[in-house]
Amino acid sequence: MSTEKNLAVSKLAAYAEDPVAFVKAGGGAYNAKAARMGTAAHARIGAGPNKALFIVGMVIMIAALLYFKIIPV
Amino acid sequence: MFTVIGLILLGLALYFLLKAKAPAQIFKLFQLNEALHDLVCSDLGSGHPRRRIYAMGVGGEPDAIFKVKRSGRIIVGEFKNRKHKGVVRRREFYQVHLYMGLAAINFKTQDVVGLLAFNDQCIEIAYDHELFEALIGLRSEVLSSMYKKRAQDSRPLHRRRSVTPRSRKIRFEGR
Repeated sequence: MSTEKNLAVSKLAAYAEDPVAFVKAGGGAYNAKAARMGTAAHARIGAGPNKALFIVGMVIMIAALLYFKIIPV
Repeated sequence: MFTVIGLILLGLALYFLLKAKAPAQIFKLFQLNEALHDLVCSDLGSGHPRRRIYAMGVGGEPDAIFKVKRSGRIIVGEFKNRKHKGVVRRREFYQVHLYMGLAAINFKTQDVVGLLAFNDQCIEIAYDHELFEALIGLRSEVLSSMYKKRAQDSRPLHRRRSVTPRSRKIRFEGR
């Protein structure tokens, strides 16, 4: 069974709440900004540490420790 | 040189420790004990198993699905990035209900419960199979309305049939 043929749960729920508002919004989000913020919040939860930021942080910390001669080369 | 290598190894250990602890945030969000529940799947964050559930021409991916270790009960978790403020939107309630119904079919159980998590609170939702069927019954109407760009029936579901939250803690937004 192809998942593409399935109607999204969020669309069905939004229609059941208010059919007129749903059609007016073209089946999309009522508030685009809130939807973007929601997506970002969903991505943050349970994401763990950011790999790139972690590597950059490590490099900066080690460079600083070497530069200020806190650790020997 | 050994100090630098030591620091790199320490950093790597810290990174993998934080990564391993990431699912704990999901358990905390839904106020569940990690020792008593298994995280079956989640689309929150990244690196967790993903699972799309579908049946009867309706599908979606809940934010999280848990399984109670002892009883096998399925818990469907949905997160909303807002404060609860004492009200639940009907579409949020319907969304959790649809996920619960789909989970019941996909996991072949009737022991399903829903959790709706907000930024400040988490609410439990009891499964109502008749409401799930009523929602599924709207499928063709939704598709027809989207195609014709006009609602085929302008009445919301709660004006067509009684929709009760079955919990004193749940109060719907609007009338």
